[in-house]
Amino acid sequence: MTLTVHELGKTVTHKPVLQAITFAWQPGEIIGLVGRNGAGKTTLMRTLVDQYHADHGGAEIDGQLLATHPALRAQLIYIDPTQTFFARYTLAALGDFYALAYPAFDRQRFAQLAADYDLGLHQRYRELSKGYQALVVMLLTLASNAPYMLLDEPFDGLDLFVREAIVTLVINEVADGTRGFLIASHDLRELDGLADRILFLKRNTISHDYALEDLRQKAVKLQLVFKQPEIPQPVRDLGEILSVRGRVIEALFRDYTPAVEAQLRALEPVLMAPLSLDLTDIFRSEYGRLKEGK
Amino acid sequence: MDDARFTHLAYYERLVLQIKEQVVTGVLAPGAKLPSVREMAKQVQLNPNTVAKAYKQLESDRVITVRPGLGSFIAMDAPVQPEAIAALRQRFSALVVAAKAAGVTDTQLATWLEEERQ
Repeated sequence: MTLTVHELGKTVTHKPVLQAITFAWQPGEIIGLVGRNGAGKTTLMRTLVDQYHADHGGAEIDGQLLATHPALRAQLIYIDPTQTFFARYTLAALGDFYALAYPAFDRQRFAQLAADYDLGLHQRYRELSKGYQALVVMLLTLASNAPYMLLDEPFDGLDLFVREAIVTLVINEVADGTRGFLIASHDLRELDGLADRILFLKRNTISHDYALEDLRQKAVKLQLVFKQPEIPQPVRDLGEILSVRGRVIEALFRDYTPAVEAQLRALEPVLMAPLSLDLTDIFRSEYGRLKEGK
Repeated sequence: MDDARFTHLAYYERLVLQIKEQVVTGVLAPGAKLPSVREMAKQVQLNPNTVAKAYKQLESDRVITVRPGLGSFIAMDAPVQPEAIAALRQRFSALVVAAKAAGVTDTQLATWLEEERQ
């Protein structure tokens, strides 16, 4: 089973919010959807589940368009944490609602998971703390048994305990390869180690699709010091200068092959040491633009 | 997964090194069973595909053996791999040259080696 999105477009009040969105998503895969606030992450999620009708394209499962095959809706779940219609209901009632929409909804599992986190089914959603509300959204999503699970800012403003609980639930769910997650976040670091791929949403479209472990494996961040005060040209050509402090240069090499290493060694650096690679270094260009507000 | 020495590596490479280190220091004895991919992923809070990749690497490095249906176990005999050793020797030479070029003395190099062996 594969979910594909081809050339998806959506205009909201005459503004194109999404344009030419194309990607494929397999069960067993965790995809991070990263973009600044307002980039269209939530709109994309709403459009994928056909809560918003796409103007062009849309989610297809094995080639069948969700919009024209309503039975496929049970294959995707997106619970919008900011637009919950169910705040005044009890957790038991929420289970009943979602069991109506999702034939494979597992009430027993929902009750068990709730009990695991000391949540009572008689409790009302709106009476829970923000962290526990986020957990309830997560538990409903899991209990739906939909193969494609969409989470919108699931870690936003949560303490370490709830964050870890949610990460652990995602890992546990995805491990047998029958479920996939699409996790939207404004903060790339929240997805570090968790996501297989990162889709960057920028200027209404996906600007990049990165496999994180490949990037980490290929990229190296080095601290370099040369005898001469000026930065040798090959360093600029082969890598990106991240910072210069006195004689100490920090540079990123996205594709650090033995050939690149040999060329750098040929420059006879006085110091050449690997540094811890922060994801924000790799995505500095995206982040730079994000910070500028575009 | 926050061992400062390995933070410049990919997550699967870090996990490979951590497990190798636990084998070398005896924390993981020959024959010991490793947690399943799912359990390990939850323990280290990493994507299961990343953990599976690390296990695959450990298997091809002959540090672990996979018994279908039973799980992954630390290999019984210390693996001798002439090719891997030759490649490591080369990397070691390159590292020593780089260290000397950076002004590291022989005494300091000896101290580093001693520190790592403990």
